[in-house]
Amino acid sequence: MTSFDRFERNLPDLLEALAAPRRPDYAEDLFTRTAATRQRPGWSVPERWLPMSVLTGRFAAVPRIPWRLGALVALLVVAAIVGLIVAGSGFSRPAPPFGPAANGLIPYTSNGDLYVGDPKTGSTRLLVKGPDTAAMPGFAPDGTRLAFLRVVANSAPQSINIYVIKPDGSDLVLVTQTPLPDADWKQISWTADSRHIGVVHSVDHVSQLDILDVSSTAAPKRLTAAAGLTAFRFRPPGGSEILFRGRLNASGGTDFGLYAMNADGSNVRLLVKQNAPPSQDTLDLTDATYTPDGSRIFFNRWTSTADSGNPGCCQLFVANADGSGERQFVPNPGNAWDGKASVSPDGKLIAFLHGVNDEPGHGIAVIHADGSGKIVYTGPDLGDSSWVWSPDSSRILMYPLSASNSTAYLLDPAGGPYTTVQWRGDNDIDWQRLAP
Amino acid sequence: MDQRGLVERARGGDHDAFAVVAGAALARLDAAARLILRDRELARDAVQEALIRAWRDLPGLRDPDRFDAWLHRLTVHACLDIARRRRRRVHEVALDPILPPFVGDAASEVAQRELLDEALRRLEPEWRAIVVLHYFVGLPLPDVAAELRIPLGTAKSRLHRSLGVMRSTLEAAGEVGPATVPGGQVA
Repeated sequence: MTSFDRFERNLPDLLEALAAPRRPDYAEDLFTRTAATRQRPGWSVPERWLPMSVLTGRFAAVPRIPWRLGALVALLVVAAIVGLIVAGSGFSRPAPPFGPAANGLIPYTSNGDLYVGDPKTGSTRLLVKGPDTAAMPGFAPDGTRLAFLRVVANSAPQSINIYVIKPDGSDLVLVTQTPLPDADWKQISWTADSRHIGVVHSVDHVSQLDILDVSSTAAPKRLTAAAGLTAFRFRPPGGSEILFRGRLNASGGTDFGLYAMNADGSNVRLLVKQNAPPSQDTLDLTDATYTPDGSRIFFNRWTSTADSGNPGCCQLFVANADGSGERQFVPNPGNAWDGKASVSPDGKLIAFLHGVNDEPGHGIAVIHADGSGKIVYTGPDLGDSSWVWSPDSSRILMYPLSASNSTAYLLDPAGGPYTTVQWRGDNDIDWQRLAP
Repeated sequence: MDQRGLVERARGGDHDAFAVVAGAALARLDAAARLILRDRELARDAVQEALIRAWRDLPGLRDPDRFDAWLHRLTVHACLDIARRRRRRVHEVALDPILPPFVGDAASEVAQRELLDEALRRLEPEWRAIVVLHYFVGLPLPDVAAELRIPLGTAKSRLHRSLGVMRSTLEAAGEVGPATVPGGQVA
């Protein structure tokens, strides 16, 4: 054994002796400070945060146009009058749930109050003031309403309710019929028809997916076929399928594959099987997301081959929507970390986390959606961060997951200079869609 | 009650449970922070920042079994945040001695610790974090890379170079002999 080997072998003991761990004398003072600190609701913590991104549901049926010419003319006249009223009032037409749209407002919370900010003008508007803490705001796909969560005052264990409100601050509606324990939340997202909200939460120690109607008092619909799931997405463009990760197995555990089912919970099938061993399955198949046309799925992948992970997590993989054709999306020899893909609304670009062997950290990586061309880096390297595309695909809104940095950044997908939004919020990672 | 139960209670707002589970880890968190920052006061700041954040964000921890790893992660990131904010080069920092009182054979143990202390100070905080996470906290290198969000290859090369720097410091003082190369020649 060389001297170097001996040094390395002894290093743990040497460090132990040098550091000499002991309970520090500031311990009591520290716990006095933590006791005086308020806990945040679970959904407002970055590690549990998932954007109120678009899911899909069934679209309402389009009424048949009457044959009679007179009725048709009458309808056209009515539509024109309504259009004039709408235009005069400044009310925007609802946006389509997928694909390119115009950029609207950015919702955010600050000190537990709910705001919207206009990135074009820098102006902000307070929508909901405390004292109850608001968090995790997200616009409906049509941009007409904003959902957010709110702590139930003096609840023990801490519980939350879901509310929706219009962007002008009017029409505040309580959606949840019964408050939910904050510790039990995993995900909350709108459906594409902008009339429902999907919720993943723990019920008797099993994750369940409930679909809540935001405009009625009807009981939530529970899709028990997805019991055990950790996350879900509706498939664009029609919302006829739901993609979800994890499913309860016969022995009460969870199989962490990617599954699909019909929107009514029928026809469950396995698309992508879990790779990771049980001790490392918490990251395998996470951050699964569809392309806007619903034809492909991107996801993080634990790998066992020496040339892509060595072994470990993660690499960025892509597959067809039926699970076939699974492959690593971007070659990355040298076992660097890739993942967290987000597809631009126009379907042309992918923003993702791309590590490069033996290089310092970069900003967000952007590449063509078919994997062609060079990777472009954009934005500052701020370590762990979260991001969302602007509805018109021209910008990436990025928020660093750092306790010391509450700035939200607006990045150029082409790698040009970045700017920041004009306000400071807790988690500014959603963007209102407006009609193009 | 086992740790998982205490973490779940703490997650639900029980601060006494939090003080028990966090208190059990506090000595090693403080030690890791002192090894990374090489400054007792800065280490205290980092640990305080980490534990305040841990209590505040605990409702968001999905897996209670990962509480200890999560605490270490918060502490390391707090250390690196503090190091970046200070924006000082290692050799310019005037640090108070942080060697603990020793027991046993005085001269050689103190000398060795002083040399190791000096060796660590020659490293940038980000590199020290790799050494500390791997050799003190005991994380496998892929986990270290994941914690620091750097490529595994980068973690490997930085660790190798860190050991080289440390080794040369100790070698210069005669504490570590020169490395040998295949064939029996002295490097």
